[in-house]
Amino acid sequence: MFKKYYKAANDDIKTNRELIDRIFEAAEKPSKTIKFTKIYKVGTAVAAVFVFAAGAFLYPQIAKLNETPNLPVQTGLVSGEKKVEPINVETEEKTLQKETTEPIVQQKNSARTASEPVLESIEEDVNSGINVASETEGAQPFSIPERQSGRMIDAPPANDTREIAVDSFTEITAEETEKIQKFLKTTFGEKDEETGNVFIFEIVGKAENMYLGRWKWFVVDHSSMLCEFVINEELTEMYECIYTENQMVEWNTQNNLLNN
Amino acid sequence: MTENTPKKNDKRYIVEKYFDMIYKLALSQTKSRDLADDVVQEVFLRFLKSDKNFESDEHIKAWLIRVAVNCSHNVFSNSWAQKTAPLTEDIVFDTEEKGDVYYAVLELPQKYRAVIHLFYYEDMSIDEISKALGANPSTVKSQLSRGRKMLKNMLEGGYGLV
Repeated sequence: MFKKYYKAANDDIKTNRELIDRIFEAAEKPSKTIKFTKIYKVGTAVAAVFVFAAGAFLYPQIAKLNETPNLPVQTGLVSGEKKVEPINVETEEKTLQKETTEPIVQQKNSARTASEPVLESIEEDVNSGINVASETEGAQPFSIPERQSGRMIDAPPANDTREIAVDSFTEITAEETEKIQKFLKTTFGEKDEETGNVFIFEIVGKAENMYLGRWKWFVVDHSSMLCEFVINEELTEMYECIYTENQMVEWNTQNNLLNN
Repeated sequence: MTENTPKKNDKRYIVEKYFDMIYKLALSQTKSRDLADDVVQEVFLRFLKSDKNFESDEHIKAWLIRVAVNCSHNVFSNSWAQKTAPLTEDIVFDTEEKGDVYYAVLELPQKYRAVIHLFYYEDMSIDEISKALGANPSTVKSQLSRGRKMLKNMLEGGYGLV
């Protein structure tokens, strides 16, 4: 019974015989289907050849770039280094000026701070009779408070600057020298309080109303210059000075060492 | 006999001979007239473009059945076909019994439907079905047995022995 009804049901189903003609029409048309599998193979082969050729061509170029020392750094293309940024000239100049205008005395002071542990060991060595001071004299402290605020290689404002030609200085008498040395030793002391180094004041000459001299101290077995200075006849003004390139002695009148 | 009358070895003759068989098999597989049309076209287009040398009429029949079942599976693997509800209700039968039996077969899993359809409608033996589907005879026998059992349950013992 099942078979009978199932056969009868299927026999009742009408089929679309027109499909047969459409099938034959479709079969007679040339196939427009593109065989992508073939295209993939050809495309892969072409791409592989291209990549190989590009690699073979570019490898010597890249190797050459790597061997050139300057180019990679400037471009940053090959080595991956950062591009060198142009220097801001004005900023750099200001920074440089700020650094150079700092008083040397202060720089010495900071240097002394940094070398304090060394100094302590030096003092111990001196006390024990071992002479190592000459090797480290530049780092020895300069303990006079007045000296720490002085200016030496500064570029002072034009209004506060005074200069005298080196050639104009003349010799002075022994009495004048002794008088000035006595005043300076009275003012600054016979020796440095912290290190114990004995001060030496040399008077070189006189021009106009200013004496020119050198301030040194005696370290163990030799003298070492601390600065050059000018001091007036009245012994009321004393300034650090420098020798300029045009044979002048120049100082800033704002920092009177005797006022400090 | 005119010149347009298809001969036995003519491909048109083959198409016209097996067109209904393939269409009904495809309809039982896809449960949709439109999908069945697509399957039939695909099967016969392959046949017409095929250079395969068929040994016999049975060989052609078996080849067409296998291609039809495979194309029906491919249709259901298509995402569009999965989202399209089969329009089985448009198949109207003149008696209730035919409808009950036919729609009961359509409720079976697809692999059982092919075996049941070929066994009961095409009167093919288990060996012929196994050759046509490329399956083991024992597998076909097992699927036929399970399909029958499921039909019995669905038809509640009616319509005689399945």
